[in-house]
Amino acid sequence: MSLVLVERTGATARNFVLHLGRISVFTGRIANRARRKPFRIRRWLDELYNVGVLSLAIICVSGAAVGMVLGLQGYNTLVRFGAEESLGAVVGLSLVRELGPVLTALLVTGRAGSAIAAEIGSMVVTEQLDGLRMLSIDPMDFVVVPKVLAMIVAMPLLAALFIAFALFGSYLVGVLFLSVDPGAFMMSLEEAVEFDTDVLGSYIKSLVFGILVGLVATYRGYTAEPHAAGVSAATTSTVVVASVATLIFDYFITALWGA
Amino acid sequence: MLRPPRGENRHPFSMQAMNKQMSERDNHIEVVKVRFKRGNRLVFWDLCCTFPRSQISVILGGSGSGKSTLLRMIGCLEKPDHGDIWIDGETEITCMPENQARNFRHRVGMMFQHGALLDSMTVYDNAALPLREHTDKSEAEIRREVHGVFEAVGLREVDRLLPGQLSGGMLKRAALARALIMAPEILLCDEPFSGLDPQTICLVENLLVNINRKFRVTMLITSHHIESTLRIANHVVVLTDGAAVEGTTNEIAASSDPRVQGFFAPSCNQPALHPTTAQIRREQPSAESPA
Repeated sequence: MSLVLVERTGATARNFVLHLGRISVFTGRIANRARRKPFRIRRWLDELYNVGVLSLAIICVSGAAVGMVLGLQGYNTLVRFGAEESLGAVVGLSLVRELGPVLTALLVTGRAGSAIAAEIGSMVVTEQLDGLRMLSIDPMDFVVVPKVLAMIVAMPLLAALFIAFALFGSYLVGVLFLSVDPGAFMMSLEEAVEFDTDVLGSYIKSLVFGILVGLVATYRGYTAEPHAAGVSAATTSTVVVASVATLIFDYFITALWGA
Repeated sequence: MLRPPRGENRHPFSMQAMNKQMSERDNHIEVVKVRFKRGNRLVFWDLCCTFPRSQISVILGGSGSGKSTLLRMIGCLEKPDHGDIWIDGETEITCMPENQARNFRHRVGMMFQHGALLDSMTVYDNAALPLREHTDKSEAEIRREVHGVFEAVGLREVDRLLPGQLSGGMLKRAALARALIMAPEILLCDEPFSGLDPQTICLVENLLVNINRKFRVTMLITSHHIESTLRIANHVVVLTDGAAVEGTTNEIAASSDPRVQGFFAPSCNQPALHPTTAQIRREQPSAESPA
């Protein structure tokens, strides 16, 4: 019984190291291709549309909803201490430092990351990647690199949009519904949030999350088993691995950056 | 030349032996002692076969006999565990690194079983893609070439359609057009007749024969379809038990090798009807009799 447990643990650890090695090689190949001509601007713009523009609705609606909830919860807590004027600071700091980049990464993983993994996985199943190879076109160059670069560019922009809509939502609830002074809300927000630490830290976080989600999604799709269940497994594992990696990296960036 | 069956299938690989064989017939592709395992299953064991230049070679074999794998090896998409594949008797492709393989693939076109066209692009863009990637031709020249190939394969008014909007026969022809656009010297066709109705099979057959005559391209076709094979093949390779039996169509059709005979004239009897079906047919004889 214990021997089986040891065996399984060993196999899991070996698989983990194996995938870590492969994803490192995969990352190296992407970095190598990304700086070489031809730069596929048209394909990158298409992917930017798929990842960025098509995620706008979910990001805006989720951002506003999260902001409204934060405004409500923050007010209910602060009013006990007579500090409801600090609502802007509380909401602003939590959104800019943590919730904005993290929730955006989780939402984009669910919407665009899974779509990327499924698309590349189905290209594996239908031999489209082999078809490209037979045309002497490198699929890494043609398919993978534009998607990863689009994700890296889109993630910080989407996070900024999420934060803006969330702040709007919390302002709406705090000022219009709960009668917090609008001047006090804006002033506390402005005083609490600093560009050098908070905003820059938030940008770096979303940049790292963009790289993570892009890499995981393309890697899982590219290495999908060539059957329907393989595509399904690739999609599921993209969401799970990218979400968990986002949360783990969030801790380390916060600890290192001090944001 | 009829290759000996497995067991005696030992190719004395040396340049002299190859040169001698080349002088007998102009072989474009030579597969020498290829071994390949997929998982625990042995696909090829010392597989030796040749494919003559500018002719249509059909690779026959049961499901799982490695027909598509052999094509993929010749297209450098898979590497054998052991053995060589020679092109023109001078280029060995199994040891090529990926960047050299990419250059080699300029000489090869492949028509995949299910087309493998990029489903996010229109049929026109699919066919134009290699020209846009590898040549400096203007859009007008590309348009002219793509429409020329479309005409050669009998495709009309499909420019703006996506691959998902094509019928099975049109999809095969679109895949063939893309494979031909760079004027390859070797054309690999994986199951071009699968999933097609008899009329479309004849159409694709004629198309392949015409293309072979017109462009003098060396064609390798995998198929289960015996009738088509007999009609179009100049050379037949039968894959069986991990090895190959090869010869001209007549030689293979007249072969006394039991494995080849079994493939050409399978001894399967008419399957027994389900009792209920048999009863219905007995009760309604007029339904089967011609009007």
